[in-house]
Amino acid sequence: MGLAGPNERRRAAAAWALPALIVAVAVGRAGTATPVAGSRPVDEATRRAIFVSMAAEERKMRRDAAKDFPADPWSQDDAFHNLEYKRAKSMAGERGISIADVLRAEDEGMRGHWPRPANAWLNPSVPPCRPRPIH
Amino acid sequence: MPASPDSLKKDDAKPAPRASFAVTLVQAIAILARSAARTPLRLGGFAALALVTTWPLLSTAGSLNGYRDSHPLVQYEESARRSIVEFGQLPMWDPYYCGGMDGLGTPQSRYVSPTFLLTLLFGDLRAEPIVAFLMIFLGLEGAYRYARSYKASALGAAFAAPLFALSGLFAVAPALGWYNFFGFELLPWAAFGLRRAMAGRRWGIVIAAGALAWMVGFGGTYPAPLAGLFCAFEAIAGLIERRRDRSALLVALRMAALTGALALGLAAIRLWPVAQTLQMAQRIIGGTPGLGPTSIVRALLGRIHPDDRGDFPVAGTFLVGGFAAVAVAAGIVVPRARQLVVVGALTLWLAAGYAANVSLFAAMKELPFYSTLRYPERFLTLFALAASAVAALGVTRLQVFARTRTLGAYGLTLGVGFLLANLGPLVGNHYAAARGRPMTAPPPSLAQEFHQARGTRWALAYYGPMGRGCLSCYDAYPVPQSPLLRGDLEAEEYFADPTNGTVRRVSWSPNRIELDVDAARPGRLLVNSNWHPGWRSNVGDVVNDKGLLAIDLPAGKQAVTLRFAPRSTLGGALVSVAALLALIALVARGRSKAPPPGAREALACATLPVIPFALVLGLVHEPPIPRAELKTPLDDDIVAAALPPGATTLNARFEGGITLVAARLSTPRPAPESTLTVELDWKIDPGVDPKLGIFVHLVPSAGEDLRADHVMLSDVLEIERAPTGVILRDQAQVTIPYDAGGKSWTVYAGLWRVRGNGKRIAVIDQGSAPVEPPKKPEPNAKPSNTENRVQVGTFSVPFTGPP
Repeated sequence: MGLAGPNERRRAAAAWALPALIVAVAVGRAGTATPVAGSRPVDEATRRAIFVSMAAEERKMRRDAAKDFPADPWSQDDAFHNLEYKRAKSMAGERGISIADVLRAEDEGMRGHWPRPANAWLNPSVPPCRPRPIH
Repeated sequence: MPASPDSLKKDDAKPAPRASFAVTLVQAIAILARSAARTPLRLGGFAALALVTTWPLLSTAGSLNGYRDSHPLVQYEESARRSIVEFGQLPMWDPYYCGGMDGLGTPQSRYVSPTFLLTLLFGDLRAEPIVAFLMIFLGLEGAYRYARSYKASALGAAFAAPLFALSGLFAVAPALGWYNFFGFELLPWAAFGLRRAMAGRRWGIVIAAGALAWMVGFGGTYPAPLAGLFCAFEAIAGLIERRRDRSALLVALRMAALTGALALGLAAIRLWPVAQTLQMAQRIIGGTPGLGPTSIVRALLGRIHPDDRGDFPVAGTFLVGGFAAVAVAAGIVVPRARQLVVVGALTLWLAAGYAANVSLFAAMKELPFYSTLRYPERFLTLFALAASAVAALGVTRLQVFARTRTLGAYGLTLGVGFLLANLGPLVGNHYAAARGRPMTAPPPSLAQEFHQARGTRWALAYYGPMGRGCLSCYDAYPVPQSPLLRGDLEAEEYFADPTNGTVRRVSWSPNRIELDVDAARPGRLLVNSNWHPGWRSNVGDVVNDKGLLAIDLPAGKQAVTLRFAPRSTLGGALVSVAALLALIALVARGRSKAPPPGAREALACATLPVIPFALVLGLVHEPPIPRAELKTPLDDDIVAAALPPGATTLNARFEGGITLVAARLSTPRPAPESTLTVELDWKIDPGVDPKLGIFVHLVPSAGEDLRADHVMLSDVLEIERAPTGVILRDQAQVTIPYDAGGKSWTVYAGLWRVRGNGKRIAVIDQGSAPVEPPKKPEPNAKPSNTENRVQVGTFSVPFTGPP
């Protein structure tokens, strides 16, 4: 078998260009896709109002979570955080804001000791992670 | 008689004279066969197929998949990127989750992989779909080469490759955010490399060890262990095949062992930290999962339909496709496929889990590392690879028939045509799964000083970009996490005694914290972060304060620098580099035709990574990982010399060497929403049955039972690891429901094989335990519900008004 001539080399290079081009298309598509649009961040007054709403509901959410997992502190807490997440999502939907703002309001309120409803009960800690051996 | 690929190529080009339509078909297929054999054309075809398959993912790049499992995996990857891009540090300590963890030691992080370069370039949310595209592309070529190593024709190998590389798991994985499952796409490379290595080819070791180490680096608890098992099948089959040729057998054995040693060495950068993490936090998996034959068929042949919660019922989640049946059926009878058929059958058996009458999965879980696997159905991915190679051999056989028989030409057309048609359901499955993703806007970034938030792990991906850690935590293992972490601290670094002085944060980054400290007297400084033995300080002593990172400091003004430099990372990195050097030395010594390494060379290569391992282990010191304190939730000693006061003696003896000596309840009248402690006092015999669990049922006079089942005594000590012949206090704390008032309750306890077949352990002597009154059988009651459980106490909850 002899050495490849310039035409064959060109053909070979052209053949390799096919997969390279397709990889480039994939990278280009991912690089230029438009993500889902987010909402504008809300002001502090709105975040304070959000914090009050979330704080007011924590006790009930924890009660419900405790009923699902009466003997497992981590599972209780995790079930509460699931309810908290769902509530944050629905509150974001109701107010037309990003869920990130609801989460931020909770964090700021807890750390900044913002005013909260009289009967609100906020636990700033979590029990250590203990996944259940059986789901 | 099986045909060689060479004869097939000739034959594809020159079909024998026969009916003109058949000739046309064979000629058309011959063109496809020639294209498949040309590497650039084949790769172009595979890339195009991967592009079409992942188009819905690529088109939504940059958005966040809101599915719950997507959050931690996005977080792990983004945290690593942030370490490099924002702080100029190697990603080691991940402060953004659970109060901080060793990023390399958490089994699900996937940044020790070439794909991390894409994350660095584009950010994780844009990189993820590109990773899916590239891994599918790699998987297609890997499956092709694996089938070729069984002497399948280029045509068969190319057309059968999608059965594996596009199979259902790879459709589900991005929809659920499980990107580390794309590590499975490297499985055929590992198996192909091992086959070549055992045939004496040095590059085979590089390919197999590289693929296996990549899988480990890419994270997840399934791809690497399952690939290891698949490679073990390959190795055993390869040795059996060479059993009559002693010298070939020895070479194969040596090469397989060297491959394993270098794969472990190369992966040490992840394996060592992961091993350390799992040593600190043992993963206990129970249950008896299994798939019946119908479910297996639906998984392999059905179509994906996400449910309302965004989860995927089993149908289509391991799709191989029914149209592959012709090629697979033709392949099964090929003698070379015998080994693949056996592997396929074994993987189906494993996938059946505990649903099989004799469970191979249960037997496999007796192996040390495999005991932590939960989902047997994932073995269907290994089945997909075996099926793909068998189908490739089937097409090869049909090509042989097509040479001489008109009917063979039609058979070949049918086999190839159906494999082409099979692309429809395979690609469609990816589209259906992609449509099920709840895509949302990417988390907004907020530049602010880092601190821990309580957070919710269900929305984890939002916290890191806000400069917040999320204490709410879940992973598949009990992440070492301090109960003292808080989400409401004014400062993250503070004196345990606030009157001792001042602490000012000078700078913060994931692996390094600089503080200005002024201490009036020697004292303990606490950091709102989990402790890990890899944390070091330039002043004072780093200590573990109930899981919290702390430093015991001398008095005076001082600049304190805390840095995370764990021995496991340093040692793992050096071992990986040594293994890489050994691999380079192996292939640099000779070209592709070089003979396999002799015993001395193989030993030298395998030993090289051991040297840094031993050196680091001997020279770099770290505090030992503390053993769990043997304390109950109420801070009593678990091991007691005598029964606690007020306990009721029961002496109920169970099969397997365990006795419930006594029990007590903390109060006979707990109020709603208060905590009731149920204490069970056990005594175990030497050689007690392992892997037992303790069930506790609280049965009310009306309404639903409460359960306080658990695996470890007082949530700390496994039964089989407990000292024998002493009283072992096992406390479970139960929150009395807010609406439990006005009911009386009976508490029962017993044992069951939580990490085995799930059956209860028989009570062989009830001692003085009250016997449960016989119940009238209810039509739908499970007959076993009241079996082998001992009544341990009663209580009543006072009615305190409506909840």
